[in-house]
Amino acid sequence: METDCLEVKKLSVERNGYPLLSSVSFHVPDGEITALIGESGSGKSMTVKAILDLLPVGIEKTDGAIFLEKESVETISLQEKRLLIGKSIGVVFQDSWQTFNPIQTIGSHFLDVLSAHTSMSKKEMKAHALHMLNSVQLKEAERIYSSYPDELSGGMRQRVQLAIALSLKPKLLIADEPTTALDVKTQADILKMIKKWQKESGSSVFLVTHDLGVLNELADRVIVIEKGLIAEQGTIQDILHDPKTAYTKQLVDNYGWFTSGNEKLHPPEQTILIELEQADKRYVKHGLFRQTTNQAVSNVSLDLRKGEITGLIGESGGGKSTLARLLLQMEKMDGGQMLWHGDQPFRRGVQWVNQDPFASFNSHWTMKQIIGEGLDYWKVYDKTARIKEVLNQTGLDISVMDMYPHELSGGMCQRAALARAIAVEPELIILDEPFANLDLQAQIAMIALIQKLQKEKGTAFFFISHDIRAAVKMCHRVLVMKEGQLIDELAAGDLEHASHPYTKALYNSAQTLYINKQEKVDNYVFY
Amino acid sequence: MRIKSPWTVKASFMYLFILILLSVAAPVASFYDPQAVDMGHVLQPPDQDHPLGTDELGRDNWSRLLYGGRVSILAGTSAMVVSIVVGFLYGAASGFIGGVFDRILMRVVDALLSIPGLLLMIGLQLLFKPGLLSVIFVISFTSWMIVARLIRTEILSLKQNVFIQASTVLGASASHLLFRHLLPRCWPTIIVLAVSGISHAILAEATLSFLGIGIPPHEPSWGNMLMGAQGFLLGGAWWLAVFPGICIISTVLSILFIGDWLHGRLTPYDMQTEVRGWKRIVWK
Amino acid sequence: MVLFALKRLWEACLVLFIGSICCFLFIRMLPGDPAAAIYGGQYQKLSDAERMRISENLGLNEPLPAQYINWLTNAVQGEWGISSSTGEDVSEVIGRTIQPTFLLLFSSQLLIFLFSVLPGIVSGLRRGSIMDHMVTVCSFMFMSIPSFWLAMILMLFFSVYLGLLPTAGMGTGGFVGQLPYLIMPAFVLAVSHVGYYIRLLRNHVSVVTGQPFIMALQARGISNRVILWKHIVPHASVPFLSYAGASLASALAGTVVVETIFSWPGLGRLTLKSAMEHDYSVLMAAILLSMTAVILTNLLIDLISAAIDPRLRSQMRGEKS
Repeated sequence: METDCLEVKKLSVERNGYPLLSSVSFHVPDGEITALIGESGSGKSMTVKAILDLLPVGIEKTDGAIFLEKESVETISLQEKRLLIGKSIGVVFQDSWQTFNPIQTIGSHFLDVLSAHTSMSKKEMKAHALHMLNSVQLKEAERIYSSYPDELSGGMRQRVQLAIALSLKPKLLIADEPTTALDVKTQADILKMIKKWQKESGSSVFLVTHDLGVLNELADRVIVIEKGLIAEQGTIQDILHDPKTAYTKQLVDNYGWFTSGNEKLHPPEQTILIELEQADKRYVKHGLFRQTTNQAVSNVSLDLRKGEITGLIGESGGGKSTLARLLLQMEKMDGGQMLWHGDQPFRRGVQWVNQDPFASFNSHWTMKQIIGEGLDYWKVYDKTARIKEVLNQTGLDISVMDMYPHELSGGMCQRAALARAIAVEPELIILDEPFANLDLQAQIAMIALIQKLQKEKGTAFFFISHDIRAAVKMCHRVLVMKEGQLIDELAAGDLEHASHPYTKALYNSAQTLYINKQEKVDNYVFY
Repeated sequence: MRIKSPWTVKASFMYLFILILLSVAAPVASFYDPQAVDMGHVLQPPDQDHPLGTDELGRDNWSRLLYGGRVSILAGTSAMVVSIVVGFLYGAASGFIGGVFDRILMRVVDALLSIPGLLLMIGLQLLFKPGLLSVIFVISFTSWMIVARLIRTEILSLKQNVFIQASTVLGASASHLLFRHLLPRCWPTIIVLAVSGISHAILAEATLSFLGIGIPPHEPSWGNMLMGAQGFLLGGAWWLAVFPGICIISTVLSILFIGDWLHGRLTPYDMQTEVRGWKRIVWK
Repeated sequence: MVLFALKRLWEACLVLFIGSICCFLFIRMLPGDPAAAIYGGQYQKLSDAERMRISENLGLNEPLPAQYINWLTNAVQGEWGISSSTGEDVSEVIGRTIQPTFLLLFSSQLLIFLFSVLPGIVSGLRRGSIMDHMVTVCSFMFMSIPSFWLAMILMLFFSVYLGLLPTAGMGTGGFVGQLPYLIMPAFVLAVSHVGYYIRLLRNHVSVVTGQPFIMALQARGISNRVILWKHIVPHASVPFLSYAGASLASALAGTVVVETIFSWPGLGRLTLKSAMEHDYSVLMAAILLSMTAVILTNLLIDLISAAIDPRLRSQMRGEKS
């Protein structure tokens, strides 16, 4: 029997008497990648925090024992615990923005960690840091070493986090949803790096995720958690091909549906809603003696048709969000023009669902006011009836009307955002990375919802995303954007056979997330 | 409706309630006419006839305190209201319109803010005849700038929020945005400013009256009572200085407690910084 | 950073300019002959013809903007007119008061730092504890005490009852000789502000402590001491510093009362005296001087803050924050 790197026995965590984790037991063997999978709210992140002994104030551990390399974490002193955890465990957190001190350089973060656990000289520490930055494929290591966190992109920050976590050669790497909200290529890169590191060093990895694709790519063992309880544990093969509990089966089936490729969707009409011609957008930054111009969108022309679901894919920073803002006329174009051919006035005909559901709501308003806001502007009377109608259509309960945004989960909020958009009966809805903050189950539910709306109402959608799987599943037609330009356009079903090298590269990065056994599954359920 | 609040806040509400009650009922609650001179009983320490003593003209301290409370509270509250109304209009206009208009308006505010408050008050009062109205004007003229600045910052930062953009997409016009979203969210700031404004104004009135440039001495206010008390302190007439001071302190203190509590309750959920620490560092 | 510094410098000049216009307009609004305001006490003694001549000379018959330019050029060159109370040059009268006020401000600021840093940080770390409640109540009390009342009570105790400290004047004999005179004024001035500093620090420390990156640092095994001094304190020091800069204005206001009560010969006492005596030239000069000091200090503080927190360099005051 191999030794266990980490063993958790009967861990129970609660907040104010309400249980968050109930008697959770599992073990992470040496030299393997173990994944913990569950939806948001299932207690995954809480498990990580409990292992690190970093539960927030107000949340108590009521039972259980944690063993790191056979040593009980309870019995050692605070000082020893800090050294043990810091040295043997490397952690990569989900939200890379928040895990750096914004007023310190990246290099200083490295120095903190290295000086706390080793006795290298400053020069040695810098050299080691640069070496680590190189090993996570960051090309300008010196420049990054002396930059501040908000000067780097999300993908770069996540790589830096990985570099810091691995710099002490830990025996266990804990990664808490390390690739959420990253674009496909970066995601694939980071997953490959983790896998490569694990093979070369023989250490263990404890991965927390909600995405079965990530699971499939990396994991050797899987633990399934549902509402604070362990539903099932086993090897990756067992879980994917022979799930024993209904919950796990559901997860696998849903994912199968998600990745089963483009369906025969209700075909779009031919009337054009929006005609965009040669759009240009620049951002100019004024320096002391010179200016830097960032050409966010250059010479983009596209048509959006009635009833069509059009996808826009590309890497982060490629200009997708800028294009969305131009289409919504939230910013002025520097060149080109846009024509609206819809029946309704522009402001009513085109609606928006944003990436962050909480931010797009006024947190002082109730959901009823939020969803009904558009109705006031377009003089729709009998608001309450209409609000109830859209709540029904988006699968939300009527009781949601009196709640405030912070009382709802991310998935429910995003549905409410969609409800708000369809309340004014628009002809086109622009979805700007709407799934970025949702877990997989919520994403699948939203996709089904969007398809339903397209079928019943004939609403067109412009779906911007970095997740190729969703684009393939949902869209009629996919546009590809790179560095501000539209470089390719093809039917969603043809993505597998793309000819343009960039499109091919994007599709291939996403391939790692597809489960090999591709079964066309029809019995999906979303909730 | 049960509202949870710490004991300090409850005590503050109670104190202020009693204070206002006594001020309103001053003619009934005081035993003597505050202006009544009684040369037979000058500088008496607290005793049966005069529970808080008398001053150098034999006037009853307790009565003067009550009437003085009226003046001080009235002056403080009026000054606060004026400064908030003016500051709010100025700041909201500046923040909402933005652009060059905003920059110019804010420069003026910055310039005025760089003059120390009391110095500005000292200068301004030269322009007016002494009295309650001039005190109110002088105090509000030195307090509206902070209100303007804070409201303007609030409106500017709210304007950039995603939900404002979302409303624009839904079809909101500028006036919709202003009246339905921006202004209602200013209420917490306004309430907090109002509370700190009253405490500042009461202290300012006391200071001005103490220095002799506020409420003139024949009409009592807590501040000018302290001015009068100065001369007799060294002679041992402690009751002339202690009681008005305690009144000022208690009033301002209560207002501060209430203000702090309100601030906590009114902060929107997404900006609350509750006691979120990470165990190991909080219990260092 | 250089660009930021230049922009801030330009803004400071603008604000100074607008402020000087306000002062100038204010002088013109004061009751009495503007020439008297500028020329001082001697003005009364002159004949009508001479007054007309002076009006001509002073350019009072010229349009307002030209007068302003005259006045400004004079002021910048140090020609602030004559004091109507003492007949001396205003610059001399004011010059004498600068060192005492500076000494007072400096020592009170020192006391403030001494008494606010530790309680502020510790109560920020242990928010909600009993110690935090006590510190909060104490700081609120300090914020409610009128400085002149505290001064009177202290004088009563230490000078009258105990006879330990002198009540008036500045004393002679260098720093050691001045110390007994300095203690009470500096203490009173400090007490009025300590409360605000403590609250500010407490709030900011607890905000920073709740941020996720602190948790990440702990997960990396960094000791609490390093986290406190290398990460929390720099974050909290930026608002602390900017408040310190801004509070120069209220500190100068505080000196008026404190210097008057303790007969400390500083700028604050002079301001009050000149207002009471209608010595407008001195009053205006004092206000102008204070304003300039505040603006320059704020500029300095802004630059230091931007050096500590790089995010501030791309925000420019007056524009979208």
